[in-house]
Amino acid sequence: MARPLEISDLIVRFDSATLEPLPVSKSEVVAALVAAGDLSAARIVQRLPERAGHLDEDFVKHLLVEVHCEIQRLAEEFQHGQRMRAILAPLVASMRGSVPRPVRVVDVGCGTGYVLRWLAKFGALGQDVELIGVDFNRDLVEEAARLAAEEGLDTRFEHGDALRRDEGADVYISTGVLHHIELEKLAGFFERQRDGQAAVHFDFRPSRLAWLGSWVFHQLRMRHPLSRHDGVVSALRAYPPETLLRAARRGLPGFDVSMRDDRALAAFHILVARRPIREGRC
Amino acid sequence: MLSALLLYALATVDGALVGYRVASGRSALVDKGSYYWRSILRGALLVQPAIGVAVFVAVLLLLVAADSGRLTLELVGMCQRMLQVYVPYAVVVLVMLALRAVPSTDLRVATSVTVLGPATALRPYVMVAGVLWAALASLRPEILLMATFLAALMLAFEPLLERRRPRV
Repeated sequence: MARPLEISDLIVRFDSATLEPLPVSKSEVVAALVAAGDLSAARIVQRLPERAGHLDEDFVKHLLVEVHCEIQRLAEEFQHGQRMRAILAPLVASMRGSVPRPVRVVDVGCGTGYVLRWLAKFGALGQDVELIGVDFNRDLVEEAARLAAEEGLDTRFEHGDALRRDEGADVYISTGVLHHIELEKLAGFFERQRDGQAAVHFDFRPSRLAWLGSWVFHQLRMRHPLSRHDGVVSALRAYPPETLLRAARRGLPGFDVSMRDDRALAAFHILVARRPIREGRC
Repeated sequence: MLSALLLYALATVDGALVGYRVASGRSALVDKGSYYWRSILRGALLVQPAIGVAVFVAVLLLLVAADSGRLTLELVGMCQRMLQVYVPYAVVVLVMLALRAVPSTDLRVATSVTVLGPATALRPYVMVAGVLWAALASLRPEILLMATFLAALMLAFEPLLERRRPRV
């Protein structure tokens, strides 16, 4: 069965080389959603303003920033920052001394960078930890940088592909990104993190009741129809733990890969991959 | 009198929580403590004119009533019956909010998902149930009018606050 589509994945497109936004045909998006049988999503897109058949870029830009602000509530409510810190803190501590510079944590697909900004504000990971957020979407990265500057946070946000950075990373992290990746690309996603010492990826955990919980949460807490729609679809698109483990073990051979269930009503799980510490290594 | 005061306190708390809800999801900052406190205060303050209007309508009804003494007793009875519905709801909500002070991420999530979220969804129904329960005690027109007016006021408060929210 085809995986359901998220509107936010369809209303923006980027040039694969420059990552600059490309015009998006409104009728094509609507047709894709209709073909997927998601008529309510098609109606949401139908209501978006257009210019000469393409979705209004300025409108979409503001819409996505607004939706990310709203969706941040999910991360706040489920305390993604605290949960990420609980895993990152011991990882970072174990790396101190084994890397010849500050430990570099890169947030893949950071969006407006909530988790990274939270870690910078409250994470207390230490002065020797660099926090860098990277996203394809320039508007979200700019918003993340603006928010970080407003609160005087020591983080950096970059427009680009997090897995093609010259500097690489010691720890790759993400929250709510895995389910956006197509199944056949999942192992490749992990493979491109081989230069790191560890990877921590936080995502929805699928279950029979996940969609219902997600629907209730998003109906109650979200205002925009796009947030409500994509929130539920995210839970439906989420990969089961065995799929993620298989892909991570293929992409990161030699790493210790495990799945940590999040106990918060089992709504999320966390994939942790760690390069084994060799004996004699500092 | 005590019933009226308790009802006033509950209305103020409800206004404060509405202020919080209207503000939530609208600021992407990480440290939103002062933002939320300002929103809570704003809700608690802006509900005061609404309470004032309700008191004004009650006084007006008393002034025009032929039997103001009896109507006073019935209005007090109305307050008491409203409290029978609102107090249990408020206790559940406030206990859950207090539990969120416990430094446990799981407990915090559990309060939100299992109680506070559903309680938010139930709020309009609880509001209407309270005034209906109160009105049923005395089916005289003044009480029915007061009940209808209170229900409309409570249901309209959140949308009004939404429309008048400050831009972030």
